[in-house]
Amino acid sequence: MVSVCFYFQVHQPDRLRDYRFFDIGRSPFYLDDRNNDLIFKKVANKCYLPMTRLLKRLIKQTDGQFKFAFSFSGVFLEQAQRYAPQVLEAFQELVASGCVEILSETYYHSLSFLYSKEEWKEQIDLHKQKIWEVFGEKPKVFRNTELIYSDWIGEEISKLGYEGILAEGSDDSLGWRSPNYVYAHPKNPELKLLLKNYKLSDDIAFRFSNQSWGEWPLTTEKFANWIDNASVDGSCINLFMDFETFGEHQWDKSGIFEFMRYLPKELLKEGKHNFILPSEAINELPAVGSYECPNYTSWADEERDISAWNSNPMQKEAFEKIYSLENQVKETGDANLLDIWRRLTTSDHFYYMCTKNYSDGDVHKYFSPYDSPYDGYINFMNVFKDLELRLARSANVVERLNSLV
Amino acid sequence: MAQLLTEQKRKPKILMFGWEFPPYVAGGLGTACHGMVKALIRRGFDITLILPKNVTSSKEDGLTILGAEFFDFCVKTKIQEKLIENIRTIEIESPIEPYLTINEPLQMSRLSEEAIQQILSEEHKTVEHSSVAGNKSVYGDNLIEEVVRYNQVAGSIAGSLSFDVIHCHDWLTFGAGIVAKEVTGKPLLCHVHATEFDRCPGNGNDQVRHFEKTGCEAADKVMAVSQFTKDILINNYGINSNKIDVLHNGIDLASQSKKVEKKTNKKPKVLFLGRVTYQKGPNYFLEAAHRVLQVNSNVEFIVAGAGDMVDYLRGRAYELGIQESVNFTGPLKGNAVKEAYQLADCFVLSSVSEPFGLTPLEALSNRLPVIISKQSGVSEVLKHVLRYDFWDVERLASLILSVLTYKTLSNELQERAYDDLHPISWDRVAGNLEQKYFEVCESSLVAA
Repeated sequence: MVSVCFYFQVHQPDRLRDYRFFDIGRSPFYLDDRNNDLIFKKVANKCYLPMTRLLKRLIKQTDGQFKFAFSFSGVFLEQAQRYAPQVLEAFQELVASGCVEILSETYYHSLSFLYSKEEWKEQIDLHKQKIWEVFGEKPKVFRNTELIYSDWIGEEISKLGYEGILAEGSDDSLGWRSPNYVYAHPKNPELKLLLKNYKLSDDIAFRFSNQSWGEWPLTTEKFANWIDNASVDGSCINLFMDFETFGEHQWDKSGIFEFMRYLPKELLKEGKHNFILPSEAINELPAVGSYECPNYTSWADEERDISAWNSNPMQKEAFEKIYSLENQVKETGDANLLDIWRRLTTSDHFYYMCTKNYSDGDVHKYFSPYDSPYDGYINFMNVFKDLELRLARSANVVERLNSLV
Repeated sequence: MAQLLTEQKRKPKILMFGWEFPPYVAGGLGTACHGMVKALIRRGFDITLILPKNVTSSKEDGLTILGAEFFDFCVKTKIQEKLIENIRTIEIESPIEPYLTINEPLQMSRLSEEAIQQILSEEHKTVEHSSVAGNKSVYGDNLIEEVVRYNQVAGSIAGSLSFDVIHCHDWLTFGAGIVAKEVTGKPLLCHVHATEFDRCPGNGNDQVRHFEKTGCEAADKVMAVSQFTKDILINNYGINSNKIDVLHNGIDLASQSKKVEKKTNKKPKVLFLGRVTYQKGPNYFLEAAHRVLQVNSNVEFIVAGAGDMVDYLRGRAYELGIQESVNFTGPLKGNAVKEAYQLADCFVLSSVSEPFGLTPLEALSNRLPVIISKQSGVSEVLKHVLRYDFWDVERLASLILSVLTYKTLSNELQERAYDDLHPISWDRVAGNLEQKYFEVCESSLVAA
């Protein structure tokens, strides 16, 4: 019997408000609370609420045979608490069913591992605390922001005591091998890897409603059939995707909810498959070999690397600038400054600045609150300048206080 | 005829009516016509271009240019007199529609082919007309009168020429196109580069609007230089959207020069280049300059161009106390334009309503970071630019400061400017036009 492992990513960024050059040094308010509120409620109605309802029903219908994993960013959980507590309750109820595993990630959904290992670990820790507060759970398996992975990341995560990590099933690393097995880290074999089957995952997440796709419309039967075919070479098929796939990226009228309504039953039929949680998979299924991945891989864009966030000079500058403030921010001991600085490390800000394929008008545009990547950069840099000024001011205050003592 | 065209794959002969053409250019219309005509000729088209007065008639390489002024002698007809009467009536503000009240354009005297050949052979003879001196503006004092006269004359010339399609540019020549269509029955393509709603937002001339509406209604096909313009034609003129096609203008990259290395440590310069009229929003540009200078006094603003708002702007600059930082250059020609682009650090198109807007393309081809108002057709084709709403002075100022402050941004915009320009050449425009010409020829055959 070949298992199916579902993992859904749940994240909402704190978008910045239209922060103009003239605001620098004048306004300490960076976030677009109004828009963040509006978007959260919109997505709650289109996706979070209907999908959690459906998942709850599916667990009940299958007597708990249907199970899956969630990864929540810390900023998502905050927004849920602030804008739509009923969404948080819905997730809490699901988690209480015992059929849900929660994964570990960075609180601020950041790429901090790129610039500061310290900060990365602190954000993982903050996330751990938040998950404990909200769900009373302790994650055992890690997934890095945007499924970004490399051997180095695996090594560090292993040192933090995690048993497993999720990653994109990269063709470069897999070669002829199938992503549908459990693999081990080459240096630290006790760390197990679950690799995303990107073909089958993206059939649902990206292609489901695409009418020019040769396989459209995708029915539950057809998809179950593909899972059967993939099972010839594998023990666990990993379907990793954004939770917003359901109702937000693929709209209700595309039939995505109907598709999911029948999928668990179809897969469980005749005992061909079962559902498995990430921590179960890494403990119960044998690792068939080691997975070497020297370069960063992710689940974004054609390239499936980190170029979506860190390829053009604007993105690189923005990254360097923001992380250059880390020590200063931490030295102030000002919790508010630290919090707002960390919010600026959220990956989305850098994603909005991506100019890759910009001329063709691509998915980056769909998610961006900005007119262009340039506006994303300008807004971020204006905010950065203000934060820099605030830090300089507070440093002056500290100096003056010290001189008084 | 159209059948013959398609069977033989012969390119249709074009009769084109224009108002401006280099070296007689007041704005983008002349530049656009020139780029288009050159590209059409490269594709092997045979074009007869009829321009109003002051033009040296010439014939070379597939392009025949005729100045309508030469045909002065043929217009002293009954109709022409009637027409002049009507114009007089217009001047006393009687609601009379110029030239369209005349139902007998077919009775216009026709020029024989020989007569035209004769005129062409009179070597580069230029006729000075009393109403328009050679060194005066392209647009005369009584524009409507000139237009009506041109339309009658130019239109009637059509009867003596051999061609397959009539292509005319803007309201100034639509009347000529209509007359030519009536005289010959050939299909008419009206090209809209600007509407009265763009030129005089909220305060246009009814007669001009009438020319525009009638032209588009009579046309077999209307070409709009942007979706922005197409929407105006549909919403404000009630033109059937099915017959309007959007055809964005182009640019010839070869004709633009490369960026010269700038001296560092010089005062950064922000450039406005265009007619200094309400349509182009120079007042918003000036107010933004004021905001910028409040934050960074080390910036120079250049207002290049002529227009009826120059005096107001000079006064306003004094009022704001920024006269030292704003440089009014007056109109620039040829190399001076190029220099302005090369000296500047940032280009702004501040138009209130811009059907297309060629200057941002020129600025981009000179590798200048470009900021454009969203109320422009060109913003439909440009990606690597910054955009704002024309009234949002604060945002414009913020964007200018950003471009001047964040070098990475400015570099990126310059680096990627060419990505935007490659797909929008005049050759693409000509290719698209060729298709339209065949379309109108074929449908006029079906209609017949």
